[in-house]
Amino acid sequence: MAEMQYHVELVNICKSFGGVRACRNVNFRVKAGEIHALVGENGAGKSTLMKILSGAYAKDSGDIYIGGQKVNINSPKDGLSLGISVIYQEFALVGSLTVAENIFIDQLSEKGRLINWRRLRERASSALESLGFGSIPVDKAVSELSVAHRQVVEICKALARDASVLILDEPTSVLASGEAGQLFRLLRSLRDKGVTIIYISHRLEEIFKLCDRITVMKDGCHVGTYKTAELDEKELVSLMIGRTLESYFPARKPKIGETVMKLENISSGKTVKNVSFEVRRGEVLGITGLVGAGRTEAMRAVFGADPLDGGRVILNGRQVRFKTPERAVKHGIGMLPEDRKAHGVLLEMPIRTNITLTRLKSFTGPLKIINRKKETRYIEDLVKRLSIKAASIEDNVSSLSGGNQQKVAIAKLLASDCRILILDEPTRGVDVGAKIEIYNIINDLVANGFAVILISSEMAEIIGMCDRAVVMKDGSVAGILDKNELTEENLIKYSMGVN
Amino acid sequence: MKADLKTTVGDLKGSARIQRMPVNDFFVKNNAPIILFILIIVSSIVSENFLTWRNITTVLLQQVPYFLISMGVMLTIMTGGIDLSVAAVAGCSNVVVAILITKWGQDNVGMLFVCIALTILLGCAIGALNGFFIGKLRMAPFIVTLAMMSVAQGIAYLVSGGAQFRMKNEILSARALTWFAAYRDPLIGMPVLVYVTLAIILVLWFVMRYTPFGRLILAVGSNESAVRLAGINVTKYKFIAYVISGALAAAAGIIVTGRSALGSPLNAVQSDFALSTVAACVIGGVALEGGKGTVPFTVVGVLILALITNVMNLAGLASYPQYVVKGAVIIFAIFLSRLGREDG
Repeated sequence: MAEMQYHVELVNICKSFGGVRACRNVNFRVKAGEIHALVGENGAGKSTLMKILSGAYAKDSGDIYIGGQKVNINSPKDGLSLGISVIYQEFALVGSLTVAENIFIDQLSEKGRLINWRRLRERASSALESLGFGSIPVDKAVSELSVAHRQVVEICKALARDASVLILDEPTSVLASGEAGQLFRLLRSLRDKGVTIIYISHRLEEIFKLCDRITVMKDGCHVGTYKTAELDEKELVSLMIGRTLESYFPARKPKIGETVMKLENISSGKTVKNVSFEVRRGEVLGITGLVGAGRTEAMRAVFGADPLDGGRVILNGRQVRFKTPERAVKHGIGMLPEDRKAHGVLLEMPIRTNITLTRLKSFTGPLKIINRKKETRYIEDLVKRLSIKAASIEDNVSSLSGGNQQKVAIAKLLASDCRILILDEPTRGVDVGAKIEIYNIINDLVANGFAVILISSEMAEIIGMCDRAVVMKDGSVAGILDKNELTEENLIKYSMGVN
Repeated sequence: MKADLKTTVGDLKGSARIQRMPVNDFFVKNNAPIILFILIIVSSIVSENFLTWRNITTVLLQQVPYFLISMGVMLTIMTGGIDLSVAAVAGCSNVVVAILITKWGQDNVGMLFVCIALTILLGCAIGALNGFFIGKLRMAPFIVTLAMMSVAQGIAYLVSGGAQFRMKNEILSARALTWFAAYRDPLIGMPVLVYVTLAIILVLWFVMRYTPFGRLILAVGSNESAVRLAGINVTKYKFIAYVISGALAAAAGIIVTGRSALGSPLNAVQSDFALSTVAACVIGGVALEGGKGTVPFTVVGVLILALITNVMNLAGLASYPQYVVKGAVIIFAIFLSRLGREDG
């Protein structure tokens, strides 16, 4: 039954958590030396399947074959010794240690001897060189590296442990398009060397660019495995969500009004230099560029979350300056932070607390008592409007899926009654269905006269959603593109500085 | 995805637990009252004097300063901080109020209120400094309040010249204060101070449960940067928490003065207020990382520690081993209170 051409075979895998069947008789076969995409909405079971393969979870039933041999994987250690390595979104690196130390963290010395630092450095640089990244300094602390380079170190670390199967879970969600290209080249060269790569991503465009075959999962079941050439993006989306989709980006008739906020020569720290642009009523203005181009930093400075060192913010014709986010919100500017878990929501607090955080005063009567009925009505209204799926508004946000957590963060933002919204990567780590819902919410907002500033690394999102886009590079504005100029070529050109 | 892994595993544990035995969940959630209940049973077996009205009211009276201080400490822990200066603030107030009363309260009871108000204001001022450094300048609460502890101890020594300060009985205000501190209502013999404390606890319980202030104190502790980025003045809530903590510590110090007629700088360095109140909070389920806890459970935490001391006294245990036992019991109780927590 196990043919040799498959390097990894998962046969009839079942896994239940309590009453939830996360994997139902899933068959998943990956050939040696291919890049195989595993796609599906959040909750489709792909992460569970990969955790079973890597040993983080124990399967209920089913068989695993590696190289045609039936194997038992009961712990992450078993997985590692079979050459299976997972590269997580948040890297398992120690920031304060050097590149060399991180790569060889579990084999710093040979056979219980003291550490030979010179030898360690040599081993690290030759390992990096073999990946074509000899330029990464092995003595630098990992925390000082760019995110893209950290990822390379992580992959290098996996290969140093003789990994023959690499599982990458949303690797590009932390990268910008230009940096993703580098990663793809590396992955292709590893594939050509015979490494088997399983690639999980919500970004369909890159799956088509990179992967040889695609396996789609839905509701814990294996929908099918396809050659990439056999599918197009639309078909893939309909396989993933189980229905056909008119358009990935819902249409909108823009009703653009007057300028509501104008930035003149904004500077902040070393990362933001002389940024100027304006945003208008009813407009979705994109801000894009490579990671580290200063997109988030510029908006944080305007919003008062970081110090604004220079420049002017003109709001509805009047110059303003926000020392704190509180002041910005008072003036009607709200922000959805990039890192949902760290800054977006209060994970261990109920949905209720999260959503009405900023408007509790509107529910209080004399004695400052919160009128819970009034509050509940308000929350249920928003929950319905944003179709947040939760058993109860008293549930902690941590119990929700990523997409619903993000919608709670958006609900919290909307409850603060701001009319200019800065959305920083609002669809990061969110499945296709929720993504489209978030796009619909954005469309709805601008139709009602809100101004939306959409920070995104995803080119498709910028092109599909924005009326105009600011491309940043090295802390400055490299170009401002109108709707008709919004093409992938232009975005790459401006963000990379190619002319 | 690493964090995802953790939460999923946590969720799994959670759901598995609920499925397997809801009873277990009940015990985990209510371990503090259960420990208290067990302690009450054990205590009444160990000593027949334990369940006497006299003993119960006396224990409550003795615990008044602990109740007050732990309420303030609870607020600071809820915001994700801690206030370790409380014992020194209480000791400092203990000395200051004794001196003020002796100076001004010779034959005017009205001055007693002025003395008390000024002392509480001193507590507020120290709390405000804590709040400023921690809330505004974002310095670490642990070290700020530890340093403030030293400051308050210094003040206690400076104003007293290092000597104990006994309030003379001829002083009208002193007499009034000691009388009030010992007064029991004639009906059931409950000390009036216990009523006052109960009132303060009820107010705090109400505020924490029903007002925006209470909700936001916990929210700040749950995820400070998310709350800040939502446009809420985090500094304000932290500041207020430390001011309240300082005020309640000062009030506790005044009560110590009233009960002993003594202002001693040793109180500022020797008292176990800081350890006991922080421990009471944690035993009562106030998470040291902030964002969790309730007023009633903190009260239960104070009672648990009080009973441990009380039963050791009733059992005739000498005071030196009591320190060891108490410390060990605190560690054990915190261990119990961590059981079943997903991060535990």
